[in-house]
Amino acid sequence: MPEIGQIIAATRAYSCLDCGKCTVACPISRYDPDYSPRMVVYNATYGHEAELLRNDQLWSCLTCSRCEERCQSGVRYTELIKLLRTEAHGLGETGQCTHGGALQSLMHIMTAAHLNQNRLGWVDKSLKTATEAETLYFVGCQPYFDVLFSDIGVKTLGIARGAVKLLNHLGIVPALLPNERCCGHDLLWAGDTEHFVKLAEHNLKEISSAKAKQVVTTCPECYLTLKVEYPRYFGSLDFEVVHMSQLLAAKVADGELKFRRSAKKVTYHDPCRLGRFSGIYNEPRAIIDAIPGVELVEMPQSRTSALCCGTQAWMNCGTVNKQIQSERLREASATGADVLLTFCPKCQIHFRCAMHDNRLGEELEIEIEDVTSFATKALTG
Amino acid sequence: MTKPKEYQDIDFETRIVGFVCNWDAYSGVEMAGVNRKEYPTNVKLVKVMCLGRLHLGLILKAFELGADGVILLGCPPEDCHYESGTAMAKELFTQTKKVLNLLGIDQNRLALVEVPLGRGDLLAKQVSTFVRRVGRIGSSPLQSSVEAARLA
Repeated sequence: MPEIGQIIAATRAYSCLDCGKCTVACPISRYDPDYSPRMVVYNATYGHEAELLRNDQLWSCLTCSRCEERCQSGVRYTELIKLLRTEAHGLGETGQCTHGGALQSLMHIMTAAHLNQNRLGWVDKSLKTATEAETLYFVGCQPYFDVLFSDIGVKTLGIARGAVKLLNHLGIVPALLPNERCCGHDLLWAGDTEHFVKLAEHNLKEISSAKAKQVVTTCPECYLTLKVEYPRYFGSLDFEVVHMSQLLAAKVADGELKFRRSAKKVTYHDPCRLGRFSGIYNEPRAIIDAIPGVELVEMPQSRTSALCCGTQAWMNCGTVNKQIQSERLREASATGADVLLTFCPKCQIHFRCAMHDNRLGEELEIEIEDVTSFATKALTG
Repeated sequence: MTKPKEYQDIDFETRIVGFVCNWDAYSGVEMAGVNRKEYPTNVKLVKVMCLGRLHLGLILKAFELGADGVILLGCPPEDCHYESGTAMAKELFTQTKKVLNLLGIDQNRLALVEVPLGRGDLLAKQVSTFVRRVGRIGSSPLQSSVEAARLA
């Protein structure tokens, strides 16, 4: 099995000391004693291929990278999982789709060459946008999320409107893509590189036709995928990828962006793609601190230790995932904060879903908002 | 093969998936058979216990696999064997239309029809009307990529 051998070499799995710190740090293992990242690495290095690839647990990993953060041998655990899933996908294995596979179908449909989407209906007259511009705002799947998850009160388009409003406020008129596709993050992390490549090709073509030199995203998954994964498949990009938090924090530091007072006590949830994967911990906090009157209280599990929002790639979501989400929401409430801020539309969707629990709903209830929309509300003028 | 006179205008290349409720609507399918009410063979029927059991994922899957249209054949609300099935199907219908609109897929490629108990004539008529409607819109914008995937 040369492929597995290459994967082990590429992800430094052979360096594993069998110390088990990964399993101690793993949020899934905490609630599911049968799940063990250490066993995955063990099975990989000892050549137990069937145990590895024909195992439901392969699809349960949140790829949140908390294990990787703790690993003293530098095993690239999330990369290991991603590559093993690609192998398993080739064997016809797959995780259990959530939402009846609707999101997987959406992503597959978006690979079609001749698609004429109506995805910009949310752009109202107060927002200034262009078809071609130096800066492009990559919206992500937010128009779809709001239709799919309307029953749990998901309104992620507020993030998109806020993003354009903030950019306009800074004198930037961003280009928007009428036929933007899903970035492909969830297909890639589900091992489906074939469809991922198709989505990426469409997006790169669209971005280049908009003549963008800088692509701004509000979704950390889009950010990571465009910035890190696209170059892996297509070589270096002729545009720069920036997350909204980086752009806003830079403007705050320059004194170009000022906010009005807002007396609120907030706590901040680090999304894994923004925090552990991209090292963006300070920027969101700098934006929050720049709003006068806002008090930021940290949760015990924050920054590199932040707890995951509990679900990944629209698959394998069950009681364990709900327990992780409940733990995080309780942790947020315990800080005494009025609002739980995050910087990822998906974290928001997953938390809102957990708050809809019939039995625990009220206990877990907390106002949740994206930093983008929170900052937009505090804009001066 | 010659087409029956009343279906001369139907394009038999049009691919339609129909989800049928096991109760009233499916009795319509059976009665259409018993009474020899013909309807175009383009429609591939999938029987479900109730349209309330459907979800967005199943309908999108049909489109993903190259269906030109999807028809949901359900029951009148007062006849629903599970009380709320018809209402749930209506909600799903509205939600799916919104998603199709976002994707730029003509919303008329999806229909929701109520078939009262034993109305084979109505079922045959509604299905034929839908096949004609979808035929006029043309083949699905996703079909070229489905073909490409099949040939690859």
